[in-house]
Amino acid sequence: MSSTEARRLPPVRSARRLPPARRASWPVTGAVWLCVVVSAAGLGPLLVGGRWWLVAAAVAAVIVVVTALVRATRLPDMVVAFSAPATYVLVMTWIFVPASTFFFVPTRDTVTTFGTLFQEGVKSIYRQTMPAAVEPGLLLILVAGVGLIAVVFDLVVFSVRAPAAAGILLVVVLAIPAVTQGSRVDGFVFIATAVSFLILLRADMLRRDSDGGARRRRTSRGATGADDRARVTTVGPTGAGAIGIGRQTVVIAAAALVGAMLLGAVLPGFDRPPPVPLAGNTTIFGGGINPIISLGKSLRKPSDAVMLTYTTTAKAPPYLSVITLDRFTGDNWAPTLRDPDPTRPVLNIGPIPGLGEQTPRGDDIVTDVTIENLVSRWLPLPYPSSSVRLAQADWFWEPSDLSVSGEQPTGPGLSYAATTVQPEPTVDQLNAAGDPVDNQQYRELPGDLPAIIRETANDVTEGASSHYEQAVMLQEYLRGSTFTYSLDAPVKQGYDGDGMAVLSQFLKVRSGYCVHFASAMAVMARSLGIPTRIAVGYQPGTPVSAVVTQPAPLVQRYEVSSADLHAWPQLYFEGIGWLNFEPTPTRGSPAAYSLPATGSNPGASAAPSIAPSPGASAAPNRGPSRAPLDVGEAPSAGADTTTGVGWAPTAVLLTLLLVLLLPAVTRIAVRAFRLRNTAVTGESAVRAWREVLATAADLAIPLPTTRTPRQVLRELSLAMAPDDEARQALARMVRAVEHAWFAPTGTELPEARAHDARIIIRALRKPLPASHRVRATLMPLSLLPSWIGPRTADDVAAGSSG
Amino acid sequence: MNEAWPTHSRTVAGERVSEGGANDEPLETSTHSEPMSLDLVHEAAMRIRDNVQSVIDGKPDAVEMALTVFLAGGHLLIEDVPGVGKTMLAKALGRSADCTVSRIQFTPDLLPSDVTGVSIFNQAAQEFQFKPGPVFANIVIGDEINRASPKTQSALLECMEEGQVTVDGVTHRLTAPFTVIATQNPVEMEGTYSLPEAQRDRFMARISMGYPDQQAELRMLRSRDNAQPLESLRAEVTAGQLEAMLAAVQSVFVADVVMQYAVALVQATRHEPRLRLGASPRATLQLVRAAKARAALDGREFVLPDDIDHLAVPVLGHRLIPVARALNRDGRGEANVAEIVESIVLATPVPVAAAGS
Repeated sequence: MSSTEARRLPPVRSARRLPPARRASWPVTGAVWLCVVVSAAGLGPLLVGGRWWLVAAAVAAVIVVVTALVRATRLPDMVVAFSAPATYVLVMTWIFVPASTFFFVPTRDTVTTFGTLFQEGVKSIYRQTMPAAVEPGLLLILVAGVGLIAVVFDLVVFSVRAPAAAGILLVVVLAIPAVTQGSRVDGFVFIATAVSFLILLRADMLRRDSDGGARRRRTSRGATGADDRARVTTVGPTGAGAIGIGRQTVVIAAAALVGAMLLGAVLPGFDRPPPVPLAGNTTIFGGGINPIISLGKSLRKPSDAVMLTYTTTAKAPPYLSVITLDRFTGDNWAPTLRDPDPTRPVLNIGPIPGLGEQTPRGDDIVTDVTIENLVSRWLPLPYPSSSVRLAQADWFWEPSDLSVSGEQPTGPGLSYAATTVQPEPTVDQLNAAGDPVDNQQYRELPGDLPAIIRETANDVTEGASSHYEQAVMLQEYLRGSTFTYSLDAPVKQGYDGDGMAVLSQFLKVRSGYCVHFASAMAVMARSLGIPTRIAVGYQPGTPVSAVVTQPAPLVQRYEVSSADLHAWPQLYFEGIGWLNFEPTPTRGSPAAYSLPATGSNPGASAAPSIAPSPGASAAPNRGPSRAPLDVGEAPSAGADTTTGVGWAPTAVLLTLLLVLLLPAVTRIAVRAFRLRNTAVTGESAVRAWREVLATAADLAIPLPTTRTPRQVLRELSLAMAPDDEARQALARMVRAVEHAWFAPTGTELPEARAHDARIIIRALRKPLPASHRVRATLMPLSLLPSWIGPRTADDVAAGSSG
Repeated sequence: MNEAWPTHSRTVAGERVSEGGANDEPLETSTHSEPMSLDLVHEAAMRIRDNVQSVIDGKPDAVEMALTVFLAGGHLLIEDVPGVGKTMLAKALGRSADCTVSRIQFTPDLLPSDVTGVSIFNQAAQEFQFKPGPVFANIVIGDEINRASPKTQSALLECMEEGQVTVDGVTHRLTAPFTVIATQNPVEMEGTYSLPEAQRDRFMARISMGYPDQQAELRMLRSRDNAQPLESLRAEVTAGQLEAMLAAVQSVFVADVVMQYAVALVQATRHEPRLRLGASPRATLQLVRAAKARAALDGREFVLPDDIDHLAVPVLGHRLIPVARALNRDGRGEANVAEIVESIVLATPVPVAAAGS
């Protein structure tokens, strides 16, 4: 026997074969490309047109194919490792800056051209609202990004051999629309990405099998069966490791995908940025994206993250302006964005636009702001601030609206003190302010302004004798009882936004939120000739301590949350400058100067914002007015958004828990079903047998489907705890199953016991470590359809070892 | 000729080992006795096996395979070097089962009539009388069959296939059971005519004995110093019992799924790219017959896929011809064929009765 045995051994020739990691695998290469390209399609909603995607797909294809070709050669590993990045650089160069190359080789010129193009792209992102037109610079950034992902993905899958980890890259790509725009990832793209990722995992597993399977198989079976024991012992450990890990990966990936889909379907807030601190509010002032688009979405968000806190010496808490929107295109309000100007450090801001010397001023107020979760390229500041003190020097102010921006966004812990001027104009002065000589751009309106806007403006302000009175009447009209505040109505009725069409609809339906009120007032004011812009920022917020003692403490801390996000119009009066108005009912608190002279209580202490001080309100003919509103009223609008806070995390947790336990529960149910019979029949024996096999699969004990019951018996006996009772139970069960399957019908069934299956299952679990058992319970591999699992060594042996 | 006991120069005809095997005339042994119960078959088979193993030490697989083929009524091809006990195995089997054993030493000048027998003119009776050749025995040992001329080979193979001998137009039936145990020497290749595929197909199974391990060889030395071990063997079953055993083997049940499995295996050899020639339908037939015998040896009344698995290499291996590439890989076709068959067995799923799902 030994002589023939020796002859059967394969000749030692494996040295001539390439090491497994170096074998090119076209299915895996194809799957890599598919994953990258499909996930990149998720960016579609952010962009106009699809040409960029075709270019990116082509670049990704070239990268993965060239790398695969290099991998198929016998070049040194170093060359292979560098082939993907090198291909990437060359392809990008040839596509975008071909003129700068020297015989296809990148030169210094190439680098500078790239830099310029890249900056153009960045600006393009800042300038545009979504969906953005793909200008050359932006195209460069997109294609460069997708290409980079292809390079890294290829590296992770082939060189690091961790395709499951590569899935993180896909998640990142898929998350881009959600983070930047707060919009839901396109369902189709999500599923397509998930499917391509599964294809990748599957292809990779097959590749691993074909590397390892042939080797394993040769030792796997003796010639005549005399060495069955040896065979089983060789298959046992090695096979268990390889197969177990492979299937485990698939289970993890599949569970994650299913979980994500279920969560998305169940939870209302899933399509928006994650609630609490994690990502803060990157969507609003993150850079480039018109904040007003995201404002409504952010307000509708059920959670309520603290954005910043501040203390102020002002008697009334101020509005914090972040950015102003000064261009009305007809479709929307947009900011004029300028890069931070290093020549304007924030320590000394001014002059304040329009504020004349003759306008009385109150004491400067000082506001100490501490950023919590806000991520913004602009600082929230009371308007008009004349100085901001902060530790970092890289913040600069902008002359037109005194906004302060920096290269780096704000982060938790950033704190600064803003000194704010308090203009206290008299009503006379306000009435006397004539048509402005400059600031014409703030009165521009598109030619095709809907008639209803102009007519409404004229109707409302009938009888007004000055721009100031017109402004007051507009605010009064919008704050009046005919308008209702609603975050949902515009969305439900399809007129969300701030364009002209939206506004005319809004004026008919008369329901909306700050964006609608602010832009309605701004457009109407412009139609009356008043220079107007929209400030986006935060309303005053909530006092942190519950009780506000009288007299109000000098320093009161306020908390501003994401629900305080707000937009309001700023109107310009010659000689006085920009003044805040508050047209949104129930939100914020209108400044005293903006209220009509009625019997309001002059003694009220809480005149908010830059309201004139009591002393300054010197007998105006319409009467000075104080806001009857109390500070405590400010956050009332947040009420409808806070209701969701409590249950959302609970629901998330519960759903997660359910999703996690779902496989285990299903598995237990299946087991109970299979073992339901106490009477032993052939059929119940076979069902119990299936249950034993499924348990073995759960425990990652490899049992290919081509095994006969007797062969399974041998392998399970080795895997089992050394327990005679279990061994006998297994032997009994195998005899019963063989009898049920292969014996003539009508013959007597050999002895079998109903409880055998449970004994065997216990013995199978016993020798394994606890972690292994828990994993088998929570992630039962046997629930997977068989085609997901890796091919067994046997399949490979039959197919391809020749 | 390194066998452990003296051999006759060319042919050894009809070495009578018991009274029951008298075969001067062709036996019409179609008197089917009642099949024995499978438990008894198992018991008797185990007795025979133990008996044979008392002289063939340390080769349980070869003994079991020989017994399986014998009970299945097939023929066995043993491919091995001289002196490992091929003849001893055959003789021990014959003695234990109360059978006649004859041995033919094949040489290039051996004639067909030396195998089948010859008609001799009897002067006294004034007629031709048939003188049966060594093939008229229950177990015929054909030593070094590849050294005989093709003509002689085919004479034996015809007997194997037809179970009869035709000499001068007269057909003589052979005894039943009739099993040929032929041996081939794989080392000595010069001056041999290796069996063509078609004739290898007539053998139910091919095995190799292999050398005994150290302990077994030592035991052999001690126990068999001078005594002729065969002498101590006695028949464990009578001829009638043997017939009943053979009948019982035929009665073993083969489930439909197991037949499907056998067919799937054989068909897989025909579609296997590494094989130039797949197995014949006769192979399927013999595979299932051998499986029945194996089940009966085990005392089982039905065939398991495991029986088929176990027999696939010995039953199919010698019928398959690998493509040149596969043959060349380790320089020898046979071992490689075994490997291919094993891979097919491993890859072919066992069909499962629908009733159990």
